[in-house]
Amino acid sequence: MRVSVELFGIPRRRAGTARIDIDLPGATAEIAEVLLRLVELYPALANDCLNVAARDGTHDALQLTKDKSPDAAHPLNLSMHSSPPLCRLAEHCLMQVRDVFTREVTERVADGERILLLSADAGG
Amino acid sequence: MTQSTSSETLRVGPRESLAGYHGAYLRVDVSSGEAERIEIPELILRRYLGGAGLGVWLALIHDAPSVDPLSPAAPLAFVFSPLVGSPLTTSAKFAVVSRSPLTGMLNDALSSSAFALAGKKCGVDAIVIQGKAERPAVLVIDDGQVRLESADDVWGRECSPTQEQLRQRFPGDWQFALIGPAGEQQVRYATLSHDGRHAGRGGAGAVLGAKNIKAVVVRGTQRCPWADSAGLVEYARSLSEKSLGPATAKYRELGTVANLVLFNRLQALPTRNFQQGSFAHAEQLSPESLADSRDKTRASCAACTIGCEHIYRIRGPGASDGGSVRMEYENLFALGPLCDIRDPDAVLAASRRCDELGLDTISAGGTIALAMECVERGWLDAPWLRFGDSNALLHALGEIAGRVGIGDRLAEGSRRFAREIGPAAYAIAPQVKGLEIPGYEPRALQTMALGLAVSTRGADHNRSGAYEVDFSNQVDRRRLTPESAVLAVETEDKAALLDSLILCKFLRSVFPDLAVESARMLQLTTGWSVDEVELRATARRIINAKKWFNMQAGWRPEDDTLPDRFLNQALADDPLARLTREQLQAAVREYNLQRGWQADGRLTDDLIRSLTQDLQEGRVERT
Repeated sequence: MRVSVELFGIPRRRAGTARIDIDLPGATAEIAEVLLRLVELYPALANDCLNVAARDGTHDALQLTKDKSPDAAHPLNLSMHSSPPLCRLAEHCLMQVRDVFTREVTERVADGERILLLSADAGG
Repeated sequence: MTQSTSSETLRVGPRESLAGYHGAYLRVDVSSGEAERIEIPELILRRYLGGAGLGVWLALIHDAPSVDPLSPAAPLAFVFSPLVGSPLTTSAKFAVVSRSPLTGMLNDALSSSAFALAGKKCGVDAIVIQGKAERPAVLVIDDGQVRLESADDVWGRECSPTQEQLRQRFPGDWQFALIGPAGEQQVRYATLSHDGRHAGRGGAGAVLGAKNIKAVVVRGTQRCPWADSAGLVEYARSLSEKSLGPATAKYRELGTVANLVLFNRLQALPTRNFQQGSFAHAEQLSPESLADSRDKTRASCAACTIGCEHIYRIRGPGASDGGSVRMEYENLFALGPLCDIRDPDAVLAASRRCDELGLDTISAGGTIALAMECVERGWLDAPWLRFGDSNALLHALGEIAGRVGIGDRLAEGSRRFAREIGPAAYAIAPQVKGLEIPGYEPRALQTMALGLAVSTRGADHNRSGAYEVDFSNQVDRRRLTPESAVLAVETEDKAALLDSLILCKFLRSVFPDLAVESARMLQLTTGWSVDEVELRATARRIINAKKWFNMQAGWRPEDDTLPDRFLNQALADDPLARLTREQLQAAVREYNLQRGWQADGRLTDDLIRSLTQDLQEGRVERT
């Protein structure tokens, strides 16, 4: 399956691109899986836009925020832990999925769907 | 050079019992050149804080609702705050408050610069100007001395040359708030300029121009004590550190211009006078594109750590240097997509023209876009004024500022211009209460539609932050329900607090709870044992006072709505973006009830009684 992620604001600036296509196995995927693949491809999205933590809470994002090196965001850094990683939005980012703003990363998306990843601060 | 003088000594220092405030305002009558220092009761300072809050109280006690805003009797207040002069980041702000010549309602335009710092050092918490100078004049406030000087050498000049000329005449610590040609001509949406920034909305520049005052020039030496200086410094250091975090990254790194491509993607970008919600050439106006082929620098307001100003170099004809301009989302949208202008350099140049002429970019763009649509529909005989024609846009700006040709009609704003054309034009005039709508398509952002409809200043994104609700998972942004009203109220209350303290709205996401943090800042500056409960009540009181002003100025319940274009007609490029009149009316009704007002938006007798008591504390005779 292929999901397109369109980036705006700080996510676009960090990634250096406006759109990224993510290919994953299967017919559907959790948004968290899409975001994890995204941060794997674009580690600069870590911390300011996306946070990676262990699903069971045994390993939080602290390591990522302490270590500012690009490699720190790589999910392989979490592979030593028993629980698989979960990728969430950072506080000041937001998604639009199927025309609805959401922060819920356990929703599922299907082939051909789009995720908009944006800075939540909209004022001018 | 001196035209007339009043040498009354006003240097009396802050009242001993007060911290953070001087406890007085300066009333200047520019007809006579006389000035007086008038004490403000501490109770009033605590109930209205400063900035927009104290400003509405001052406007009310000077009977602003009942006088023509362009008449000599009309008061124009420059209002500081308890935080001005403190080490708190973004606190060097002031409000300019009057009855608006554009809307007839309350207008409070805020801005930031060293003018706020120098103005408060004059030993007062506000400066209220009334009267009309016999000849064009510069109002000079030198610590405790007030005088009028001739403005013959700067009258007729644009904003930057005026400031440069005044800088030569007043070297050193002097600061300036001035008008351009638009203010002199009393264009109803003329700005007040200072250091290239503007108190932009609602026509404060026209009010000053009607008084024959080209500039207000201030300097001073009087400082307020702080209740807890050490604690304030420590708090300020922590706030500065937070201000450099992710909550403000978008503003620091990209500026508000970054909104444009996102709004375009959401069909929320007003285009061709709100006929569409997306603009085919939006990417050309993205921050990345703007910075790609021209120099860009960053700057900050005085005493600000965020640095949201992104200043672009303009490429003139033949790649010549066209100067530089601060760009914000609002001038980008209003002088770009709204008028169907796709050339980035033309948009930058138009924005710079507005800055130099002293024109509010949103109102200028909105009024010109309306005229362009009228031409397109055959309602207006001005064939040169076409959508997409950047030369026409620049020409129209010049005509407006000089009130030349069609510019004289456009200088009246979109509401008056549309009434002159006819009912069909009125239905598409992009305004609420006469104030042109900012860059938020109401049908695509429907909580914001409610915020625009009910705001006391007219269509406004600074007094209502309801777009924050639309950009969240709390509502469906294209389906307004009465339940959104309470959320819109919350954003207005936050804005009222920030605008009265005064702090930058870009800090709003830095504070976990704005009222709690605001209470802490006020404790440190004033020594008051204020808490978040009191401040939430204060925010509501300030909004009640604004409504009371408007009720006396002629507001009617039917004014709290949107133009017909936005009601019952879906957005052309997003059929789901549709808002009915009934939906909006139901939400407005719920908003009024959430505010504790009558269902039609009038204040209750109890609220009016409470506000009237506050006014009796400071009632002055009209000059």
